[in-house]
Amino acid sequence: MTEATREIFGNIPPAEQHIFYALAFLSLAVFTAGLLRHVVRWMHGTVDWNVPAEELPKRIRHAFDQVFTQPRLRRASSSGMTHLLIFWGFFILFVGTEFVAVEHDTPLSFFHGLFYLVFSLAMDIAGVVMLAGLCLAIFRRYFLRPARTAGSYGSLICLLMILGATGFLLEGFRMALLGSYWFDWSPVGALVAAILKSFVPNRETLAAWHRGVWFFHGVVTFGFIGSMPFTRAFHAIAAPLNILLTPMRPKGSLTTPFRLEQLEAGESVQPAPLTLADLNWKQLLDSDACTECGLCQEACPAWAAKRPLSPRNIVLAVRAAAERQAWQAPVEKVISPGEAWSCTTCRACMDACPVSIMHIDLLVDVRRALVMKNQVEPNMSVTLTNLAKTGNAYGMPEEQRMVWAAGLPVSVKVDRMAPGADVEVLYWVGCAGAFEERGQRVARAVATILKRAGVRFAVLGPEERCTGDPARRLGEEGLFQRLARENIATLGKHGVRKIITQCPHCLNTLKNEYPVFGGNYEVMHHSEFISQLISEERLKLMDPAMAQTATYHDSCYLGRHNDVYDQPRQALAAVPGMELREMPRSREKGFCCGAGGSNIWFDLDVGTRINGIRYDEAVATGVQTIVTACPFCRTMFDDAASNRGGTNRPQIRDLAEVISEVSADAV
Amino acid sequence: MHAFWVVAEHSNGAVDRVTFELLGEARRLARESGGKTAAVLFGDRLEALVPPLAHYGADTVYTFQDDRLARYNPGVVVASLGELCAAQEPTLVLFPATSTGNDAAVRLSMERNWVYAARCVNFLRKDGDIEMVRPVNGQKVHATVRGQLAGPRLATVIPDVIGLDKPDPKRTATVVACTPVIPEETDVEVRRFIPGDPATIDLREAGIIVSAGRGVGSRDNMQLVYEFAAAIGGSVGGTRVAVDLGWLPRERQIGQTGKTVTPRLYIACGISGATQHTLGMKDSSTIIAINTDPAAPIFKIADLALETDVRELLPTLTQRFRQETGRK
Repeated sequence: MTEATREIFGNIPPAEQHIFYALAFLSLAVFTAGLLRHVVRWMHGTVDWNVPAEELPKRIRHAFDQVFTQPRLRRASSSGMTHLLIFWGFFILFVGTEFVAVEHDTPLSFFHGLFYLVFSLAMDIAGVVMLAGLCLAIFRRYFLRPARTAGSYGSLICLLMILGATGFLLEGFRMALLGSYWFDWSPVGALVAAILKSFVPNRETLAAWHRGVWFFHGVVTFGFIGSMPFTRAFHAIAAPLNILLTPMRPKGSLTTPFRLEQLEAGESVQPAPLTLADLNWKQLLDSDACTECGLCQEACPAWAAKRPLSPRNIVLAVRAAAERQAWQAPVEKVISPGEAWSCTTCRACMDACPVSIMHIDLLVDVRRALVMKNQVEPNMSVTLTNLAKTGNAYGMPEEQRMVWAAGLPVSVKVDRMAPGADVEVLYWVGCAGAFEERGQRVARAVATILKRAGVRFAVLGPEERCTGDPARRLGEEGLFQRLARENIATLGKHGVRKIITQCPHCLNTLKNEYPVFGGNYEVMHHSEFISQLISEERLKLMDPAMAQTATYHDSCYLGRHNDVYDQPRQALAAVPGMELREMPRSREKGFCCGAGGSNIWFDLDVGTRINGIRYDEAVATGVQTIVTACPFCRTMFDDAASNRGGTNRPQIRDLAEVISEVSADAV
Repeated sequence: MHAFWVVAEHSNGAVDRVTFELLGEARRLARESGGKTAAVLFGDRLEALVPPLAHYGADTVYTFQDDRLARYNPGVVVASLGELCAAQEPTLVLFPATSTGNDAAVRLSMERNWVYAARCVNFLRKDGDIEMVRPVNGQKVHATVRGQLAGPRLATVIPDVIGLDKPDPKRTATVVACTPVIPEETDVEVRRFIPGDPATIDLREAGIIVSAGRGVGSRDNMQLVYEFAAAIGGSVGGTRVAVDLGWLPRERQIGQTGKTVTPRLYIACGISGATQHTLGMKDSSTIIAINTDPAAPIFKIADLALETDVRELLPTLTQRFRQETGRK
């Protein structure tokens, strides 16, 4: 028995082989030219950021994971599986085809024996997998017609269908014509060959058909390769590249377009991209990598509330403008102010995006441009003026930062931070805790819990300022940095190392954004700390004598931005008699309350209310209490509740209030 | 000797409150510098207006009485005032920062090339001169204006900033009747005044606001609020919830994500007083809150807390006000 192998270009006359090579080079040339056109477009962007070399191993691991297992796509139900089948089928066929080229055109030779057999089998299976995926895609797209389908992929699906089908046909003709002892290792090819033989018994005709199909398959393949940079198929190149090159900042942090120190040194800085050309190369690559899958839009609370924002559309608007070479177009003409202000920076889009596009960066950049051009709504300027004048967005006098503590019993005395004080943690009360009537109650609950657990804590009182989160997310970077600098100086003066916050927005800014400016602390949200106190048995919980039902709403800045999902639930589950029910959208898929990205400080007079959507979802669980862990979420729920009215509606409480009520005094 | 003048404004036969405020400021400056105060009156019937000006601190009242001054007449006011100032050389002339006050002050300043500062909140004496303090940059900072030209300093003053002194009914003033200077030609003629309708003016300019919250109960009950507001000459506003429920248009929303208002009188009807609302109205001069819940946070910032149902109280009040004022 001879060794298993096959003759490449069997039955193909030399003339046609030459045409084949000519076409191959032509298609590669067109492909390269198309690719370069994209690269040149990316290079129109600014280079304010580059990939640090030491991050590469981590990046490559991450990209491999995203490309080969596609967790985000799989999360999206039917389309994820479909895509994974097509991807894996195509990928193996692509690699296999490269093997053929290497075997034939280089001195290397491995196309024999067991390798060849495994190769044959793998290619057959891959072909079936790809065709199955394509059939599913067609079924889903044209028969099921779900609400979300990716953009114009019809022609790409057809093209791949033709490639796969003619591939099998070609294999069948070859096996029918040339014969093979190794039919078992090419089951589909053998089947097709058997069918063909029964229809076309004449060898001459078989040979002619084989040449014809071979040529057709080749032309379609080269056509496909050459056209890739010009069609939706380009995502197969841009998407992995984009995933590989995506910034690795902490999730909740924004870019730092300039430093106050630069301004003070008289350097000229660009605080915001004013035109399309001012966007950075990665933002342009982002727009090219978009597969138009629409998962971002599906997850977007602004879109759900019929606001004028679809995260997909803004990315595509950047792409369209770049394709038009509209480099001098003002950014707010590419992405409208309405789109920019509609965003709650909840990160649902970025978490859903399979190709790691940074929608929030783009939208905040537009906000920065709008602030630079003074195109802000009255309520936004009131917020910014309050922050600048009083150090808090409520516009309250700083001396009143301790008013909340006045309602506490004597046993819960709250100390102010002082140098050399014996303090375990700093409790960062936050502006809502200090100035907002409901927030003050939560602040008292947190203080009560800390006291009962015997935690030695102190607060900054009038020395505390807003962390700057609302300013930064409204696009006022300079004001944010001023507040950050002031807070970092205060925290440094007191030698603070560990901070507990009541507000996830404070948490996020202190933890993820201050390190850039030299502020490094261990920062925990109260829910993390309370959960820890319970598990360490420092905090004892009493039996409330009555069973309770509750649902926990994930704050975007606690959950998606900081991955705190379990601790609040653990703390609640520790309450005796507590039954927790989850909303349909929870944890990573949690739906925003509508307040983030400074939306708590202004109203858009469009669409419906995001908080109404979420409130109804929470009420539908039929619980007695809706538990939040963020002052803004709580406010939004309160607002929706009084909007909906009615009796017998669930209570809306902060986690700290629920726990404080059942906590027992330390022995 | 220093002299501090106030250009008086009056309407419907009575001196406007802001004029009394300015007289108080003029008196303070006069007392500190050993100077004198004066009020300048323009109009067609002025006798009854002199005593209240004296009670609030005018040492002298210059009157320009003429039928042509029945309405604000910028040509006559600027020419007459210019002559009088040139002759008497006051240190400082204060105008209310109203539409007519602003107009007269700017015209006089341009015509005579005298120092002028708009929308002042305070005045300081320094080196025998007057420094004028005014908020700038969206009230973020205060700027101090000092003149370098000869002649009196002209300033407009924001109403309701300085506040009223106690009047002294025993005080009298010297009345100096002056002859108005009628310019040969005039480029402005005032034909009539159209007062702002409380029902339609911007809430940020309203003097009285009747504000509705969820406690009003229903869209139909909003009629009670509108009727009450009409009876007392107030403008209607409300909370975000009232707006969301479609009881009020969005531009009537007061609070964190709506407008920030500072009326003389704010009547909160069925509003619990969440911080998100009170942020937009806490600086109102007088706050009256009507609510059935004694624990409502609005009562903490209210000057008068009425623990009752707005739906019962408002119709009664409306009726009483209609009887008293004849308003509909």
